Amino acid sequence: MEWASDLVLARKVATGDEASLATFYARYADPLFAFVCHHLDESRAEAEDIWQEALLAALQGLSTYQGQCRLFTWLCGIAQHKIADHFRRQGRRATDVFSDVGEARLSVLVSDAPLPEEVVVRRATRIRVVQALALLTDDYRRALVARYADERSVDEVARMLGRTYKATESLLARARDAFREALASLEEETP
Amino acid sequence: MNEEGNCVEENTARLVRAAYGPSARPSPQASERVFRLLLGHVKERPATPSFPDAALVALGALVAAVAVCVAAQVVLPRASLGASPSLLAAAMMLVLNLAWVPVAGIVIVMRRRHG
Repeated sequence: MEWASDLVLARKVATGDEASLATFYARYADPLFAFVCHHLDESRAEAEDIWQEALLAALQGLSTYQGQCRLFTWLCGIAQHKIADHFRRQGRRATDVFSDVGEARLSVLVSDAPLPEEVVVRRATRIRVVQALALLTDDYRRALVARYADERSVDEVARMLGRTYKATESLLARARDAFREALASLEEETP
Repeated sequence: MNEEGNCVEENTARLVRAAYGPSARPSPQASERVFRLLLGHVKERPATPSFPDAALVALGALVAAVAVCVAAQVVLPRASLGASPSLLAAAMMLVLNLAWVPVAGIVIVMRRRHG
């Protein structure tokens, strides 16, 4: 499957289009940082260094992205190499954080039953959630992050997004559905 | 919202909070710094000379016109190229090659526009 819009964005950034770089950064920089953070479980300074290295390497290699996978998946691949380099320098081995992901099917993470706490705190779960968030449109992700990660009220989210209260509630409901679908799509891609 | 909806919202909230809380996001300062760094790289990078779409189409049209002229010379009875069979074969090869150039131009423009 080709990710046409990702490919167009990557090509524009690769040709030096500054507006496209801003879009690329707004869309992927924060999720990539979260991806690195959850892999490391170490200091923020180290996470920031690896994140910066990964973004620079991605920028330099963007012209080689052919749209064969999602752009965020491609970025995660670069970040994983940087994380592996970091572990190698420390004489450690990177562990497969997804080895335990099969214990909890992704699509049931957002189901109609309360989630056990150990599933929520599991590193593999957190990484999959970051990947699912990166698949959402900008307004869905901003709404979900503001409402649930930053714990803002619906009123505050509405003001932030320049929408009415009712429209924001509706947006949040659609964003939750999209989030659940994104998790399910990741599940399909998991070998 | 019904009980099931509440549960879905609560699960979503817990997952998003655990995965994407403030501690899992770069500080505004770091974010700004890294963005400036990337922007600097983009600006410093020697700009790839871009061949404008209009010029590409014009070139394709010009080549097509040349191909038509050559083809006409080959086909018309009084044409000079038609006098020699080897010249005729060479001209036909040239026409066949040239005929693909506008097609390639259109494909390049379409791929640029639609990935």
